[in-house]
Amino acid sequence: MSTPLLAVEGLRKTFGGIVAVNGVRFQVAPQEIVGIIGPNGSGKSTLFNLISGVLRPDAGRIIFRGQDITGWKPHQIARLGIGRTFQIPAVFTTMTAWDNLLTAAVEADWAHAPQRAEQLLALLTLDAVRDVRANSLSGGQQKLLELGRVLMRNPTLILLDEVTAGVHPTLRTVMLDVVRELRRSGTTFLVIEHDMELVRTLCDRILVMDFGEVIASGTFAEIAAHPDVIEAYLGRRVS
Amino acid sequence: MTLFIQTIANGLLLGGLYVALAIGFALAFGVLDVVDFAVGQWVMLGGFIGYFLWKWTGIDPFLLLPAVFVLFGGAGYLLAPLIMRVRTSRYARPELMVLAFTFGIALIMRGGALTAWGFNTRSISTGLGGVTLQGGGIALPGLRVAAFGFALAAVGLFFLILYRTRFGLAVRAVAQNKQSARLMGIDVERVSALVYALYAGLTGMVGVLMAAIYSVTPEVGVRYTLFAFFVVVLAGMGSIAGVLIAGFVLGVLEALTAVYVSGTLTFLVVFAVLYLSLILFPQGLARRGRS
Amino acid sequence: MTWAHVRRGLALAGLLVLLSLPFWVNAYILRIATGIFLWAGLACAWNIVGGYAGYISFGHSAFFGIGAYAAGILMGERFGLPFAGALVVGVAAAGVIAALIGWPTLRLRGAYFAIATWAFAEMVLQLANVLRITGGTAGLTLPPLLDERLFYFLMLGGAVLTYGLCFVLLERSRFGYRLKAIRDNEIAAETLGIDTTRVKLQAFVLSAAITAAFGAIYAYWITFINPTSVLAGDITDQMVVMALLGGLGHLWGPAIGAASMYLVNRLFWSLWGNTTAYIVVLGVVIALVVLFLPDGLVSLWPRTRRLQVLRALGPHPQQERPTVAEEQR
Repeated sequence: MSTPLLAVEGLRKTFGGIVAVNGVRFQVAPQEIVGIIGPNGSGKSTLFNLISGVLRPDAGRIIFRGQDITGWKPHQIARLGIGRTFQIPAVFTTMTAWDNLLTAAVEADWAHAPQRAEQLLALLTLDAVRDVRANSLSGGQQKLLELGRVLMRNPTLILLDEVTAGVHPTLRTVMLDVVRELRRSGTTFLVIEHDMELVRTLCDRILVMDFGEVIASGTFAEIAAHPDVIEAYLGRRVS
Repeated sequence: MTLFIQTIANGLLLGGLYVALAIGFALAFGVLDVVDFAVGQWVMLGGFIGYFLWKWTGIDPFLLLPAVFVLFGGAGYLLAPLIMRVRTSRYARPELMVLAFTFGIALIMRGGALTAWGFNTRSISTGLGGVTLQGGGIALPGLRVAAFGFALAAVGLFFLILYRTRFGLAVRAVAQNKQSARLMGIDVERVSALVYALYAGLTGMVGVLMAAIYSVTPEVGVRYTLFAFFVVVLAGMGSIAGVLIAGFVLGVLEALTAVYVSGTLTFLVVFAVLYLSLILFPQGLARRGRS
Repeated sequence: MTWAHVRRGLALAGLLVLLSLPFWVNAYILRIATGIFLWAGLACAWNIVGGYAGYISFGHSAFFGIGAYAAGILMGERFGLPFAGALVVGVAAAGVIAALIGWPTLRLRGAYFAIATWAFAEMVLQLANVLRITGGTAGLTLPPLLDERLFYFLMLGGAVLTYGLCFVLLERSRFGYRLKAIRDNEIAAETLGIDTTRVKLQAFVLSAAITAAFGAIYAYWITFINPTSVLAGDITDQMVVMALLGGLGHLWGPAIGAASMYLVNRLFWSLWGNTTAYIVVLGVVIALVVLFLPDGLVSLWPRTRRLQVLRALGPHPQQERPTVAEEQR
């Protein structure tokens, strides 16, 4: 890889006695869509929390665009161009969908925020609920709203944490089209997903995590045939 | 030197009561997920009810403790569903709403006491009032020793129930994970109400003893609320074992400050230590206190 | 006639009424009005941190007292400052102290923040009781000024400035969006680039400064202060209830809550000569609001009702007449 957009080295995070992330190491090239899969509890969301600065790593480094951002505060990392969604939708509960989007631009291009919000509402088919309080939206709509919020800032790298979970199939297609379109215009994606079909069609490359470690990395075909991956998901063959 | 030991001894005796106070409070927090801002007012009311019962019946306050327990337990059992309703409401920020709610309850209790009984101090005398235990150069007021004994018994009983009975198991399950407990057939609402009732009963009894050792006015509630917070914060919210240590720390701190610094500065010191503990002690608070 | 015109007209009329008040009501009513503006301002200040940022503070009485004691100490014989000077120093002192204690305290969340601020306020109360410069429990006396009109205008001016400032900062600028983001989901706000630590601190300092300003004016108004009158928890209690009753996180909520509760307070005082029963009312109000009307009185007045009132004032071509059923709701 020439100059990776994101490089993670020896990342480690422990909670009490549990090692959530154990020496993770990988790189992401510009405009790649990298999928991260793995059984529940394998450390995927923790990894996202570490990269976005929500958690501080116990060891290791995170380098974004050549800059060491290890230990940086979340808002500093966000301002550098990294955006993320959350596994459990973290919308602004008392605000309308419209205000959610506007607020997302409060530290970015505020002058053009209304236009941008209009575009995103239309793009994500949230027009009809623009004035509905966010906590009254359905789970799928909240996921869409979160995506819209992230997009308001035009980040360079976007971390999507199970963004299609619980989303209606038609809306899911909308999301994926948006992701592909954004990749074409220069955005890079790290995507945590459980839907294998989605991962197969969307991602260039896949990282498989288990017990906090990356146990396999490669194209879908490669990792699907990898014995460690099979063992992680299905268990060891008894014969 | 004897003064020092005497002071420590006094502090430890009092600490026992603080432990009893804080343990109920910590359990209510663990099970109902509620920081009860009215905890000190329960103490205050306990003192007053104990006083009036003593006045009307002439029975020694120590013998009145069970009656107070039942009374306050009943009151707590009735109040608990309301608190839980606020806590589990689907409105925004239920944790803050329940905080405001218990704060309101505290105001009702304090205002009610002030209106009903005025500003005057009430004090209960017990048969043990004149007894003093002497030993090793220090004198221990019999009353405080008895109160300490009570606290020990109460806390001991508390742990017995929590760790050796089926009910205690249910309580611990609810404290860990309400959803799972419910799925296992535990009636979370009833368990929570009973826990709150136990907490109110225990706290009421502590109030009676405080009224006997010191005295009670409607204004003391605030002080005991802050004491309960102090112990639980220092211990780390959710750490029942830590409460044992922290309760004694508070007692000793209060005694030492009163004797060696100044009586009037005691509260200042305690509040300052409480504030600093909240700011400086991440352990135990890290799980629940930070954003 | 559009809603905007009506609103402007009413506001102007209201302002004229308020400005002329001292000239056609008696001193007793004037004092009540002065008190209402005092508490409206205080509740608004508290609402910045409590309602908009979502950090329930039980320590604001400390800042009120700091402002009051600044006036008391600096206007006394030793320093002899004029009121304006004392006011400025008091506000600055409160701001600095708020910045100093806010920085560590705002890292705490929910109940912990509430307890910590409460502990801080009680500390300040105890300090005032023991220090000599504050006059201890005996308190301080300020140079007397028996000009009810002046204090009315000071409180009115203070309230107008406060609400004006809050309107601009909280409802018409990015600051308000930042605060509400912090209230609704602080971590998400951080990941959107908002420096939550800094924004919270700004809100806290602003809130403290406004509270202290009112404290200073109050001290000058009542001429005599002691720890119980300007540092007691009752002051915070009132601020909290007023904001909660009116509507947390709404600009006009505190004003409505303040007017309501203060009038109840004066009612108790005039009928029964004391206000301990009023404390019970405070508690009952909180309990009822939390149980039945968490969004406060403001939420009783949703947009639909405002439109109905407008329709009653004159037909607007684009609106249909409401049905009888709607009107009776």
